[in-house]
Amino acid sequence: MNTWVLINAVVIALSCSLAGAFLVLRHRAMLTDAISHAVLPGLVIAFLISGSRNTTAMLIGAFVFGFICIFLVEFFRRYVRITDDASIGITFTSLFAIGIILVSRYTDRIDLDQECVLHGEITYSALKRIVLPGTNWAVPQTFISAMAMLIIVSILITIGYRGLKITSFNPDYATSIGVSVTLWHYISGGIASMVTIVSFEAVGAILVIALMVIPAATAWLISKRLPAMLLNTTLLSVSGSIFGYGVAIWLNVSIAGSIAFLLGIQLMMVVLVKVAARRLPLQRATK
Amino acid sequence: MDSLWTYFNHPNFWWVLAGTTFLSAISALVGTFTYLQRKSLMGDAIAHGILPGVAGGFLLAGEKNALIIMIGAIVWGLLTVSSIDWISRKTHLQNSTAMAVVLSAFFGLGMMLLTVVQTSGLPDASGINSFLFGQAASMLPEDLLVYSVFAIVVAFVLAAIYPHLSIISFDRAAAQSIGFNVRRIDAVLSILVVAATAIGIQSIGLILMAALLITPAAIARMWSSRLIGMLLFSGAIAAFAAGIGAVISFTAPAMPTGPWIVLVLFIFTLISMVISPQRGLLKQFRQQKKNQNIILRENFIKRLYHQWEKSGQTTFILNELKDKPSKRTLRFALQNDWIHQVGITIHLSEKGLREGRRITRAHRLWELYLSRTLRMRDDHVHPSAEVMEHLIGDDLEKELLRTLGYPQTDPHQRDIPYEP
Amino acid sequence: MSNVPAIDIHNLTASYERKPVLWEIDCQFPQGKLIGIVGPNGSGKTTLLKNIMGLMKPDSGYVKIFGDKLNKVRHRVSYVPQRESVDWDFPADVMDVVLMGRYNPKKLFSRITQEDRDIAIEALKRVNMLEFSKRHISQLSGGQQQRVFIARSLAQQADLYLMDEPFVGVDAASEDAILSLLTEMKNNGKTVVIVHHDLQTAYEYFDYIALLNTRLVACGPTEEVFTSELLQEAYGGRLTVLSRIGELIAKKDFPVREKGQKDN
Ligand SMILES: Nc1ncnc2c1ncn2[C@@H]1O[C@H](COP(=O)(O)OP(=O)(O)OP(=O)(O)O)[C@@H](O)[C@H]1O
Ligand SMILES: [Mg+2]
Repeated sequence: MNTWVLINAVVIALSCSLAGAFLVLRHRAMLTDAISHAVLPGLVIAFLISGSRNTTAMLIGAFVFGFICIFLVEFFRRYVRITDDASIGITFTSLFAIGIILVSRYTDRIDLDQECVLHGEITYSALKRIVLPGTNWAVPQTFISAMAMLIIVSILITIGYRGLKITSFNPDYATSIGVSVTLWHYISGGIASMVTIVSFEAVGAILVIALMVIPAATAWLISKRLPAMLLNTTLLSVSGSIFGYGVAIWLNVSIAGSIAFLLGIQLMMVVLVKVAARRLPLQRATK
Repeated sequence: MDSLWTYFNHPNFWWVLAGTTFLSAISALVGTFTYLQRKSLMGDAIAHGILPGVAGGFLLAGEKNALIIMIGAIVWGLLTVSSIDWISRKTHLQNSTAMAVVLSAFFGLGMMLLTVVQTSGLPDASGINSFLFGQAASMLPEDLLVYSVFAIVVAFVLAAIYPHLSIISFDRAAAQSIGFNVRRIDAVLSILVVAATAIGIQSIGLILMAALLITPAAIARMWSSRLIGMLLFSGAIAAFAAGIGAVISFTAPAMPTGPWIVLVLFIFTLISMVISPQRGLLKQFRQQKKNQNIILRENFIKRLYHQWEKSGQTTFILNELKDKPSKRTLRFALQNDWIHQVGITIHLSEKGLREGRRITRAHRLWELYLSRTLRMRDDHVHPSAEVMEHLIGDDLEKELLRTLGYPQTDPHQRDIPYEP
Repeated sequence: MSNVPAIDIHNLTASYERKPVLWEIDCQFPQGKLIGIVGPNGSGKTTLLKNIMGLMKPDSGYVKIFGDKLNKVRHRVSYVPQRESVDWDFPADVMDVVLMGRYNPKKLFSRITQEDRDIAIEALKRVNMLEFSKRHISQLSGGQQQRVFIARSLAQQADLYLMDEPFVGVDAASEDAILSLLTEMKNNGKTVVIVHHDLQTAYEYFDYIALLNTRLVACGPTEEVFTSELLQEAYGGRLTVLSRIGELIAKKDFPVREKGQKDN
């Protein structure tokens, strides 16, 4: 058991789930699927060009491909009239395929393999450490970038709270008072792409989706107001990652996989409780 | 290429080539129906959701046994479908949210089992990776046999419910209203998607399986607007892409097959996007160019006609015309005998007069129509008529004449010219 | 009050996927009236509102509001979308939604003030929904949801109100209550434009009516518009000429205006 790994998992889960909340509210949950796959070629190309795991290069690479993804989806939809979900499907599978081909082709030159793309490397996330200047604390590099991401996401959501809220709830109304739906659409997508990139290394392409979507969806089921939902989202992502980590250590299995699965279990439990609660008063009434 | 021959002579090569092309074609057929029903991402959810079935089947069999893994995949696929359905029925979460939830949670479980497989010390443990991104070359004839049997069953079921599927795909509401059991057909289609996904896992891999269900159908839609045409097209494209994937899988064994198949499909998408006859960019571009040319030459002849209307003059000096026609317009008018050219003068022919009269008539009829039927102010009707005059053909002209009762003048009190 | 029309629609043609669903709409709505946009289902009423509010780009023509471009007078206009256009499961209570009426796009980051709250409470009182202010919006009846939307609109304190089918799913008592509210607003000099599809009540409710069926059938004071001849025309189906030329436009990808030509 390694406390740093757990801490990293929790911090990453927090920023992912907060960023995901607004996509879930916009019914764009599958967009996380698209983004998390589509940034891969960006990461690989950044690796190849910069020759190392340079965070800035990776950010740029991932952003470029995040936008290529959104652009292609829109292009297919508008100009060739491919249906919305098919445009998403075509774009992200294609970009991901290009990424995988690059990974396989240049395995020797880059510090990334198919395994890492899927599992992430949270297990090793405590290894590479940086000594904080002026102290003798050696903190994992992943923790620093994840924490920075969490702070950025929190600030963006606090500042953009109203814009995100109103464009999610009622886009037509938002446009009518002069709030640009497109702009906020890109902002929420941009925040999601950003957290995807940092989380990608840790938890892999597909489990990012679990972190972004499941806590938010679960919280939505039990919250009446948006602030409560955001709070519940964070609580659920923390509990899911702690339990998931525990189970992974106990059974000696993939940490990222276990966290994703436990998040799913949490949601299932909430749904079951809700279904049961709906039945109970009925039974009482029939008696 | 000497080396390529050695692959062709590889005992499994033709087996694998035939097998993957066949399997992919069948998957693409099923995908065509999900595409038409706008359920494309369902295939993605299922493909990821079946990982626990694949890994579990592997653990159960203790080896890479195609039949058991296939059954595991189908069981988990069905579980994926029903979980998504259950969540979206019991809660207010949308279907797509439920998909993302189930897809990622089940994939997580699959990853857990995958690590169990990898640490199990089973002899064939590394072989499991071929299911993730596909490894066509690693398929044995026995494996292919298993997949093909399933594929044939899928094809038969598809053929059996084809009439129902085609009606539902084109007009769901109508199908429902004439008493179709839409829910049952939906359920069968979901099972078919599960099976179609499962048969592709070893050749293309489950991560990218969705592409085989979505992309060929989308490409086919660009080339054909009929269901049967779409099915033929998507099957053929998928087979071709899979064939290329299989060849690559033999020539570069370190490379996974799936990404190459998807890349080929992507290239086809881009090409079709440009040149397809249905919705291609080239066609759109040409159409606009054509529209522009029609507008230019018809405006040219219309202006000459207006001058004739005012002055009775049929001979004009080219350089003195207010809007000089482009070379192309002039050539068209000459070729069609609208005008004759003598040096620097042009002469409006009988045919040209008729053409100019037709366009002017259309213009004025449309203005009258807007003014009478759409109750537009008379000084607002002109801009619309400037375009519609080029669009109103003989049929519409007759319709307009009938509706308006063969009128004599337009809203600006100009005569509506008829053929003498 | 000036004589500038509240809304001036000029030669407006709008289409979905190139196929026009509104043809050359050309009319003016006066200020200080209760105005109905009336027409059968699918006649383009919602589309017209969307074009007025800039939610859609028209193929030709333009709309002026109080004689100005929409962007200049946005703060004077309030739009109530069709109730089905939002997800009522969104995590918000009634008060949250009404407070959205106080959002100002230029001050999206500043906090809600006590004044905003007072205005929201006042708006809720006027639609008789104050007691529900803490309730989740999914637990309201259709009519109550509609009243929440109207309260949000009131909270905007605009001069021109555009409402898409505010009476759908509302019982008779609430309909009366909403109507008297709208009449009161009108008497205070506001202009209220309402999309409505019930002919029976339209005559009683509105001072001024635009009859729509993909084209403008009539536009004017209620007595002038409500003739059996015009009503029959509006409810008597589509015009073959328009549908056929619409199909041609879509098929040939033809523009509805020549290049560089403007409506002025
Ligand atoms: N997003 C869209 N894409 C394509 N066609 C559309 C779209 N929205 C509306 N239409 C079509 O445009 C026409 C006008 O629609 P609109 O919603 O404006 O009608 P409406 O008068 O508001 O009808 P209702 O009384 O049912 O609300 C209809 O024929 C409709 O089918
Ligand atoms: Mg409507």
